[in-house]
Amino acid sequence: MVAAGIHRAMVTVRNSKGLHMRPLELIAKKALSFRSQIFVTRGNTRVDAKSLLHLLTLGAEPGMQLEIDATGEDASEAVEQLVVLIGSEFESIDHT
Amino acid sequence: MKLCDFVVSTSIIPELRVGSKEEAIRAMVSGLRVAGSISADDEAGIVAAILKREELGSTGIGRGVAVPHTKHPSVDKLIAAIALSSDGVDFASLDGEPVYIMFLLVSPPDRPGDHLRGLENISRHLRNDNFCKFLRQSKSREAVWDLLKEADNNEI
Repeated sequence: MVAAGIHRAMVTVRNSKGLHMRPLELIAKKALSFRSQIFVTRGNTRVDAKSLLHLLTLGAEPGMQLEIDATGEDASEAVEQLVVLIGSEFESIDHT
Repeated sequence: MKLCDFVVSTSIIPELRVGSKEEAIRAMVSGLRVAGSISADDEAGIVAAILKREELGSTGIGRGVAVPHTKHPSVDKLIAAIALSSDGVDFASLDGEPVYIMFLLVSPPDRPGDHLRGLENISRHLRNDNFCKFLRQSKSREAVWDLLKEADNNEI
């Protein structure tokens, strides 16, 4: 049985408009697909990745470093997939 | 950045009575025009841009709150309007519930940081249940503005 521990990783925001509402909706949706508890931290602000309202308080601009941490059975995949998503350029969605 | 830096006080609508999300957005943008924050020539374009953004996904983020927004070249800094609806407006929100608090943002396209900081500021206050409660209880423009000042001073 694999022990459920904390998994962490750093990721840099690369989307040229930063993490505005549309990318954040995708992030929350992705986080909700995992059973683990997942948080995103920017500086002193640590928020629940499953809540869009909480994610909005990050104000994450391009170039900013975020930390993702997850605790639970699928924590490792959660962190891995969120690093890819958060660090992407979100080209698949329209920007306004 | 404080709420009072970008919310246009004279555009605050303390009791909005409309039948639809589109009417709500039109009323708030009209309020910004009346306040002198946007020109009459740009009003229709701004409404259209906000409605187009809503088609991509509702800005009704749940908990009775919506943050309709757009970038538009006619503004040189972030501005916002606030409207409250005691009846609730159907915003096709993520949680399926009506919206009672609306913050509408218009920001310059070449300064995405302004938009992000505006959203960050608003959402930080909206996470505070007392802020939402007192906002919904505010019955006048002055009461809403006083509440924003208190929120900016972390007094809530």
